[in-house]
Amino acid sequence: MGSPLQGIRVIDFTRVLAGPHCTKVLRDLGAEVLKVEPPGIGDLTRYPPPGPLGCSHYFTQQNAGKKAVCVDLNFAEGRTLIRELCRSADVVVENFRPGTLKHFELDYERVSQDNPRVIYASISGYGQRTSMSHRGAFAPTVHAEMGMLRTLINHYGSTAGSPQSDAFSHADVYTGLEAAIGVLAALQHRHTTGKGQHVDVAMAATMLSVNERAHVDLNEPEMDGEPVALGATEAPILRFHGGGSIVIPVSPVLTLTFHRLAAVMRRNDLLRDPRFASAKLRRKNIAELMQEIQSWVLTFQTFEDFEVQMTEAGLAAGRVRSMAEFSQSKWAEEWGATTTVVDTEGAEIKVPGFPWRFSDCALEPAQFVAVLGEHNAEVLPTDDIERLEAAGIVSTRRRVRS
Amino acid sequence: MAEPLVTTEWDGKLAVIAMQRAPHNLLNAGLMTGLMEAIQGAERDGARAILLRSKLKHFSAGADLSLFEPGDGAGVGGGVKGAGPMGFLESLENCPLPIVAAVHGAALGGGLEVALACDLIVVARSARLGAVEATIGLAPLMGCVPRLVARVGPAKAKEIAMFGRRYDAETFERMGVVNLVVDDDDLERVSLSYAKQLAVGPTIAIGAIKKIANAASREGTTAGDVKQGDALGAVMSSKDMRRGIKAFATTGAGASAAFEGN
Repeated sequence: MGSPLQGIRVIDFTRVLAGPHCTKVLRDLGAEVLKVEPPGIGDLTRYPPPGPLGCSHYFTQQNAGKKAVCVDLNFAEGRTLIRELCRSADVVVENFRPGTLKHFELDYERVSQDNPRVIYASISGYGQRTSMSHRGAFAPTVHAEMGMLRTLINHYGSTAGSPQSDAFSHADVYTGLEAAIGVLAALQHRHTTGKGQHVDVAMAATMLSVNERAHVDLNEPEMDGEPVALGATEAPILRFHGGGSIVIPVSPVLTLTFHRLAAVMRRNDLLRDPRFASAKLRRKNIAELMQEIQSWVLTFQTFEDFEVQMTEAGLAAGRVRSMAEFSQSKWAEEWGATTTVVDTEGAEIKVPGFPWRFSDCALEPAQFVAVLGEHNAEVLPTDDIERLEAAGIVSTRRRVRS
Repeated sequence: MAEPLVTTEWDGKLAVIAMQRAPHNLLNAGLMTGLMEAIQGAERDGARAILLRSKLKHFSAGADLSLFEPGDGAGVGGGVKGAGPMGFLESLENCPLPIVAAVHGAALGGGLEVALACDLIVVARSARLGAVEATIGLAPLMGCVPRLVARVGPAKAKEIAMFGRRYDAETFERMGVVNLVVDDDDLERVSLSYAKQLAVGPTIAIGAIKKIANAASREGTTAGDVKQGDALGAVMSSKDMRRGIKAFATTGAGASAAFEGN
């Protein structure tokens, strides 16, 4: 019972997050991933804290389990080596500025000449051949350009303090996932046709695609004060008995859910309260409405009782917890929500586990994180590695045991 | 003109009845009569639920000892024969409306007994409750012991009354003496929310539940079942029942009904 992508070889030119997250997903599903990095620093995320310099924990979380190859593509011999490696690839993934790999003769056109079956995914901010292809793309800049930041600023309104980008690099991670999806689809296509192809994935387009309220943001319809998208993102956070906080997953402003809430609260008098008679009025008098909801929440003593009562209205509730707290919960243990990797200084660090469980496949957690060029000798198609190292074409670090 | 010992304020159909006999709401004929009249008045004026609280530092520190002098006890209920302190407590239990007690500070002795005569008790976290009569050589004389037995069983009831200790709110909630413990600062808003949920509920059905529960508590399951049979007619023919069924049929959720208390 192997893993779903057993036997698939991925050549990975990606760096930082969007690309590495894509190839991490492929690795987790069982593919062999060979990560190609330039000499010197390699993937720059090897360096920022926390964790050992050269193999930081950020790097470990995304790149554990991938073999590390370090070749200088500025040398013709280096490029030849890598092109040779790409002949044996099922998949190539890159996230350079569009046009970069063409300069190194490692673009899709060149690689697919030698390997027409290759599935070659390019991840970028705005696509390979568009008027914005030359623009750098980072999660916050993409969030800003495609409108997510504006939506967030509007959403948090006056409570925003000094507005800033939020705590997650959505554009990178979602795009990594879309790229993995594209690769898997192309693999299936290859299965029936025998042919590979180029998959061009753009972060800005991804962020539109994953925006469940795009139909509102794009068309700007009149909403009459009703919140968008079931008001899912207007879920209030409320104090709970014993000092914690909980979130209930509905907007009290949305008419549909206001009615359900009033019933489950046993407060149908609120439906006839002139302060709350329309979505617009509920928005205007939201502080008073929240007072009523908060008071009702405080009439419960255990979270379990509260959530059970919410099931009367087909709803649930969530406890506000930290990730560290959550990772120690019974569920986290049952699921294998976290796993450990030993870093290059011998310390065990917790990283996320798998989001899937396959009934007919087994997945292998990543067992190691590689220093720059650690697998050159094992992976590169050459008998002459000492000469290449001496010439600076290939660069191999020894793992330092402390 | 002296301040009234008891005030009534309204929040929709919820009558909020507050004791304010300075300094500590010690129960005497005047205070108990005032409470009875407020409750009867609320019922008359269309209340669908009652919230009983104190405007002073404590809920009630106990019975005024003058109550137990000959002649004085008879003053409760405006001198109506057979009233007295137990008559007062029975008037709470016989009132068809649900009564919620909101307790803060001390509810000791007679103060605890007033709370125990209510249907539901919400308590502030720092409140102190106890059947403290034994500390001055008395036994609780206003219905505490049987009502504790009904809630917590004889062993715990005897422990509470014989030792006369003060108890923490959470302990009493855990034992089943009271319903809900909240942070001190939240008592007012939460007890209001709690009582309002009853005030907008199906008043006839709620009144039936009260009767059945009290009968079962006093005289056992069979007596409760008898009361249930008695109440059947009124509940089944109530307009609120028809509203509830209709809401269920149209929206799939009975709780979406807007009850009117008839």
